[in-house]
Amino acid sequence: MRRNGRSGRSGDGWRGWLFVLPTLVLLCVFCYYPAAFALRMAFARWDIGGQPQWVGAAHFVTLMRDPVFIAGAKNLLRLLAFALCVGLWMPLLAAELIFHAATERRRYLLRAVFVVPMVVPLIVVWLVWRGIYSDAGAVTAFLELVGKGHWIRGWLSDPDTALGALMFVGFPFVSGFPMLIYYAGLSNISESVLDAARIDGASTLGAFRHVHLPMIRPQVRLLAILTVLGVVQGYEAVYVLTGDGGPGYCTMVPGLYMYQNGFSYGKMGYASAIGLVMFVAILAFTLGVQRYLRGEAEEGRGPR
Amino acid sequence: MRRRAASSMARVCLLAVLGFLAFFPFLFMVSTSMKSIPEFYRNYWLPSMHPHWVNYAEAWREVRGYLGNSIVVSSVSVAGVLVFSSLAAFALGRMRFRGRQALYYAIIAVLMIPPILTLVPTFMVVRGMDISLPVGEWAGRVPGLGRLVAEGPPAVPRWAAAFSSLSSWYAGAGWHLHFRLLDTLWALILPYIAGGQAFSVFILTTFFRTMPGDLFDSAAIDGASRLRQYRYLALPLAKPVLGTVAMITALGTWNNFIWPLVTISTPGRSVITTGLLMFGSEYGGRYGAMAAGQVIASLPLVVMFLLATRVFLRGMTAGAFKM
Repeated sequence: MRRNGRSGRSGDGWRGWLFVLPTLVLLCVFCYYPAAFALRMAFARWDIGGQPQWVGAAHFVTLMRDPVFIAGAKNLLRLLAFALCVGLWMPLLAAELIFHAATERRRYLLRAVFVVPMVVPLIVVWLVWRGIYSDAGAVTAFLELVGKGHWIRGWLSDPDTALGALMFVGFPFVSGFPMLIYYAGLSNISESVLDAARIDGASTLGAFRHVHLPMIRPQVRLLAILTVLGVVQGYEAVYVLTGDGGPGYCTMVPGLYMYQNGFSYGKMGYASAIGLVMFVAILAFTLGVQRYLRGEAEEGRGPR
Repeated sequence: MRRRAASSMARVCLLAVLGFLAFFPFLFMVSTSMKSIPEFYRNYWLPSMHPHWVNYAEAWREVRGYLGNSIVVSSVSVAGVLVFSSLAAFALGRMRFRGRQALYYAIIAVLMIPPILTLVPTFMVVRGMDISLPVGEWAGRVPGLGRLVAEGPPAVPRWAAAFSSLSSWYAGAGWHLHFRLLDTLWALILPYIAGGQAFSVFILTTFFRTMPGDLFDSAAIDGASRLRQYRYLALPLAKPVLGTVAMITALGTWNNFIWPLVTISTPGRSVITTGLLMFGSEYGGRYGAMAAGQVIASLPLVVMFLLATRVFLRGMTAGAFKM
């Protein structure tokens, strides 16, 4: 204890706190306090402009029977399944193809070109896709061009296609951040491993399955986690493309329902309850993944 | 040998197809932005031979205000994130004081709070930052300030209105000074700066910790204060990391859409994301002008990317492997 005291005197003392103070104040006001506030609001009926009224867990009971929320959760699971089955792997395909380019210079240029769509503002991407699905859009025009005019429909207003249309926003999903991550993973594989595979006569596909894929597992894992977090929290695209989650509740997602409750219906308490449920889901997922990874790491340490 | 050439050919073709599909929406946007409405219907797929630049003039008139607000918001936010987070990270990474480690974890823990949980309550907090002070009453009691009571405070210049949290109005006895956050650009900037802290502190603290201690010891022996060490030693060496943080913050703030949607209600104070959405709905059918607006909205980030491609390609993957 004494020792600590003495080193404290030779240390920076309150000056350290002074350096951290602005950050600390900002975080308390705009992150910690709102998070704590959310926990409290979720258990109260709080219409905007009114006084909070304690209702206990009533919001959560209502939520579990709320057909809109349930429809949203189902849609979310479908979006998630698509993102994990297709969206997660397309950038890997692009990264592999770029990785196989002949010269370093070409690889660099290709990466630079494929990253450009990432710096296009998301709102522009969504508006452009809204245009693509519109009556004057490219999908309709293309079907007319190839003589399949009878397939044409309001892609975002037809209950059969609306959710599918949302899934395909950003197709073919090859560009940007995930591609960079995959590429970084591929270029981290040591040259000797790649050479060994080549000498053993592994085909491109064989090398991919038995060398590349196992070596970039950390990247796949990271992007899978980011995909889940992003899809669960993402509702801006839905807001821009279909507005209210329509037709009916065909494209409703929980995040949008939270937004509507909070900012269209002024039901701040109910909105916070939805936010809290999603936070718990995200937290459970994150902790689950961590536990799984830890288990896997311990297994890996044992004799093979 | 021939098989190898064939497979490499196939790879190039596949990459070309993927690239074309990925870029088609944006190429189409640029091509549409140069077409008049009749040409849009007549010549749908191919780029125009006679660019209809009027679209850009029309879109620029509509969008320039939003663009200016976005540039102000993003640059002030980037500056705020860099200054505050680097100060904190320097203390957490290089200084010795009681509670340092706990403080570090407390800041990093913010990364676990998802934005979706705090959207509604942060809105309530920002909405609650609304104070009015009866300045007129006080000023009346102070000798020499009689004029302020009679004439009121000077009017805020037009250009500063979007930025100003202060306004004033008459109520009964005299002037009130009104402070509020909602519907001003500060309602965007302050939460953005706060939201950028955790990630930036995390990256910068890691960086400062790996810097050689001798550097700072010798500076200290030369009599450099902690502030000077921060300013003249740590900051210049951290430039690449700061660049990464700046880019990520710029991208994030430029793209943010829901937060301005709920906090800004005066159209003149909208940023590019919400402004572009309004532009899109107002101009139903004027595809050329809409596309031109979208091109203009994309340009600042694309130009930034072209100026710093190398930093960008390296920087975006930094910090992603520390999981």
